[in-house]
Amino acid sequence: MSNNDTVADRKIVTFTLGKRIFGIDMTSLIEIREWEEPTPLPNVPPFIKGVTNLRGNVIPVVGLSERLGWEPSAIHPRSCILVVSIAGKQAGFLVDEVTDIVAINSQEVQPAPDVEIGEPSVIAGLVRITARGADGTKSQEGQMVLLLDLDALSLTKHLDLAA
Amino acid sequence: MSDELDEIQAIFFEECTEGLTVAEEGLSAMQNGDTSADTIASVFRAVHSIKGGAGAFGHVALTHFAHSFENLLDAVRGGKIEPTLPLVKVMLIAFDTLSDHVSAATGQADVPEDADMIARLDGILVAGGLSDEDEGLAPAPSAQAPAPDAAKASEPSAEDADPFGFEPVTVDIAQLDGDKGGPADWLVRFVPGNGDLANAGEPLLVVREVETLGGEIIAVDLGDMPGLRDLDTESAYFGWTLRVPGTVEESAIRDCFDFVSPEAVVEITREEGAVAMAAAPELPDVRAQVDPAGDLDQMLSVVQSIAEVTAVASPSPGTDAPRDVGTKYPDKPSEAVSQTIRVDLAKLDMLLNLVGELVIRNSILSDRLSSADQQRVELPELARLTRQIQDNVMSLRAQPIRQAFSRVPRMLRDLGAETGKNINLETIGDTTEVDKGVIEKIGDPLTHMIRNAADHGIESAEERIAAGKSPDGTIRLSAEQKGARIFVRVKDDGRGINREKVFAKAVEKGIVPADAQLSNEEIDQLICAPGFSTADTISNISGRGVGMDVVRSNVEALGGRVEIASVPGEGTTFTMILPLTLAILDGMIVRLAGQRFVLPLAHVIETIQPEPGQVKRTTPNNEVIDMRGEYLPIKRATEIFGLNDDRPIEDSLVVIVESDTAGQVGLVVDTIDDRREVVIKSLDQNLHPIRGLGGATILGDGSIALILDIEALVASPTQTRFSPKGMAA
Amino acid sequence: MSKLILTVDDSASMRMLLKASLTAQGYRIESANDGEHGLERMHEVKPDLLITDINMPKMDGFELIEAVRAEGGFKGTPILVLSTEFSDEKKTRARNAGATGWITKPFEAEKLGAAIRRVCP
Repeated sequence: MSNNDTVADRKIVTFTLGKRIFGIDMTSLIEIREWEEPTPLPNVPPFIKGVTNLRGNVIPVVGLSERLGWEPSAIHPRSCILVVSIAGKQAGFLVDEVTDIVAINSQEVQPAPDVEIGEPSVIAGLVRITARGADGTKSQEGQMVLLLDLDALSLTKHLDLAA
Repeated sequence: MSDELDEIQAIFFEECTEGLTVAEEGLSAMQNGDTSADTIASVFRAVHSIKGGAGAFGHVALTHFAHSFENLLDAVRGGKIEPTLPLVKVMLIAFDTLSDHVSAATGQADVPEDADMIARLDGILVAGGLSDEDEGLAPAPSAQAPAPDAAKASEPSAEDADPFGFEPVTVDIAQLDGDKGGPADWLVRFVPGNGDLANAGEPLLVVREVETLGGEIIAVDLGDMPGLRDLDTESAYFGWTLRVPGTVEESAIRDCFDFVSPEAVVEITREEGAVAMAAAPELPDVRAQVDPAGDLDQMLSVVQSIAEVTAVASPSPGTDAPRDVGTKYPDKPSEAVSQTIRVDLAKLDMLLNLVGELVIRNSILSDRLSSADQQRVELPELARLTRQIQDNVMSLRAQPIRQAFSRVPRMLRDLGAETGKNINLETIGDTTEVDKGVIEKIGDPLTHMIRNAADHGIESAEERIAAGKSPDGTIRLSAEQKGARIFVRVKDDGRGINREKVFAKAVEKGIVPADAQLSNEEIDQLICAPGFSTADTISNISGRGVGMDVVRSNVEALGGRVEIASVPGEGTTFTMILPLTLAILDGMIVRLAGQRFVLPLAHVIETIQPEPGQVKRTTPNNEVIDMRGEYLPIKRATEIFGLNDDRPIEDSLVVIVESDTAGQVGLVVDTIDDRREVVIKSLDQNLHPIRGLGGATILGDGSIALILDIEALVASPTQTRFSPKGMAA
Repeated sequence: MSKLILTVDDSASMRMLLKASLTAQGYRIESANDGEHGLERMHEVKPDLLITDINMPKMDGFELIEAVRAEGGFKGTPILVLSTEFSDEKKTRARNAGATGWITKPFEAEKLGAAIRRVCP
């Protein structure tokens, strides 16, 4: 943790689902947009909320919380859609709140511990970050962030099984 | 600059693909007996251009292979080697290796093993044709001990004696002298020939260039200068001697004289001695004073370089008189070369989207105008222009289907080698133009269909002879446009579908119950069921039944369908029926449980506001509508999609649609909002094809409407049984 | 005014590559995609130097050079051949047709520049 600042070689965007903090690599992120009700699709698993229009592209919107096996996120004013690119395909993830963009050092990422997620493989690892407080100062103890493995979340992979 | 280079390289790879297509077409024509000069030249040029570009972009292996191939083609073009059928077949195999090299250069494949093929091509070149032993597929005899000429031929280099001046023989003087405290200065004597002025050459520029290397003129030779009266301004009279610092590479000095004519005198010597070079190309006069202390290897390499030059200068053996070519076959009509520019496909798609929007806005505008305004002449004119723009933009995306067909000949050659079957290919209608998106997506289905035909359809030669057929099988690949649809057929003259076997297999696999009563056509369709395979032994060609079911699902995802027709003993025809374009659709905007959907207008026959009692429930799950005494089945998309809908039928509309698979069916919708053209966005681009949906579109307000796939929605239970969903149920 | 060079090659990538490396060396570039087109462009742009490929559809490099030399007006215009071929026979043919020099592809930008300066100061 102490050498966080010296060799930060990765940037992640952190967000919350319920009380947990997750992170994905900035390199996968296309944009963050406000929640907007997507057009529902028939014959798809419930975690696929529908499709939405991203600058002329039709992209699926996924309830990430349900996708990971928890209760659906309740929509509130800070609900966001993280638009990401997974293996050349684009998708939007519904998350509760985007919290920060932080630099981390890949060597500080620890292997995923036992977490209460149905599919442990979707967690690529764990990293501790020094969260910025509301006043901009860094808190002392830091927070644990679960890094998501987007490839494991690939929609088509999962849908092939679900169909 | 590097971005620019990448871009140019991308264009080069496109040219390679085009070049390969041209070369393959030419070689196929040669295989069929067309050995006209034009045909051979087209193949030569294609390979030559690939080599040129490959060299420029540093693809060494590709350049090297293309070079050997080109040398052989050049000999065939020059009439030195007869393009016999066995030779053309060897060249086709060489072509395949060339294609593999191109794939490797683009990073799509590994660099192929080509040493044997290069040795073989070079061997043929040296021998002046295929030797008798080599008429078969035996490896080239020269693979072991390449003749000197062959070794020379496979070495792309400009080290030959050269009519533009002398060409260097690779003798590294600096190396021979050893490092003895700096080399001695060069003395360079240059007397231009008359030819140097004739072709707009300017000897003085050569002298200036030597000066830039640090050379200084130490003598000007005016000895041959005639009197002023006899002076010919077109002739060269002067000679120069320059001293150049000994540290300058000899090759750098020689480069300056690269363009001087053969009759010019160029001598480059060390000031205290002794390497002189005459310009005469026939017998390079190489006098290297080798340091007595210099080691034997260096001497040997000098001798070898001299030997190489001599070998090239001597006439090659087996040179026949040039054949009279080009009269036996009608000349190909020269292709009309129109000026073209290359456009990024994304830009084209953007244009298409915008035009789509324009069409939509146009129809909205039209709807909002008063009926009096609608009568005005400007509006239909605007609509007509918009339509024309749209047609033109669509045609920009149209490409000849040849692009999708182009990989079939190669595949058949590979399949022929694997199965031992000799299969001829006939291609019809390959100039049919289809939307680029369609071409991109029919590649895989086409591959499976061809493989299936080669593997399961065409019999072995023995079996064919026993059945009274020619030992060679034939696959006919054809494309034709009928209305807004493209028909792509793969027809083989094989054994046809063994329906008993197919049915038994389907029962065994649990795809149909043992007591099912199926028509012949229905049995044929079973081939496309997932997990179905009729091969007694699983071959590595068609694989484990991931073949025809993939064809079916891919084609359906494109909004098309597959038909199978088979006559036992005579063969099988697979037909892919595809939409002409994947981009635009004339649709009706309808609502299902309040949500907007697009219903393709091509299917719509009429729309009914049902009278009370006109729709009757026949069984708990089936409804029919009484259409003037004729009863048509009713489908509720809301039920199929699991949407909540408690709207009474009297408040709904019934759209009568015509389908290929189920005839006329009534589809229940809430209301009809609009009729308009929509730009189709595929769902599988970012998601997955969804059964019952043909894609999505973005409406004028930015919201999304899903496009209904009528065929899938109305499909009878027999058909749905084979869908993945049906299988799971 | 910088020198104007006409490049004739049937390969678009080769034309672009030539243009990119020669523009970077301060030349102005016009191009044509075969011999016939090249001859037309010669008249239109009247370049200081012609660089042509040999193997091209319609009219090949030899024919182009002969045609250009036959027209009198281009007697003093240097012509460089840029080809992957390098046989004596081809080079002799090119010289007899009226070529000033021969450069073997692939070219290096620097050497190409030196070759150009050798015929076109």
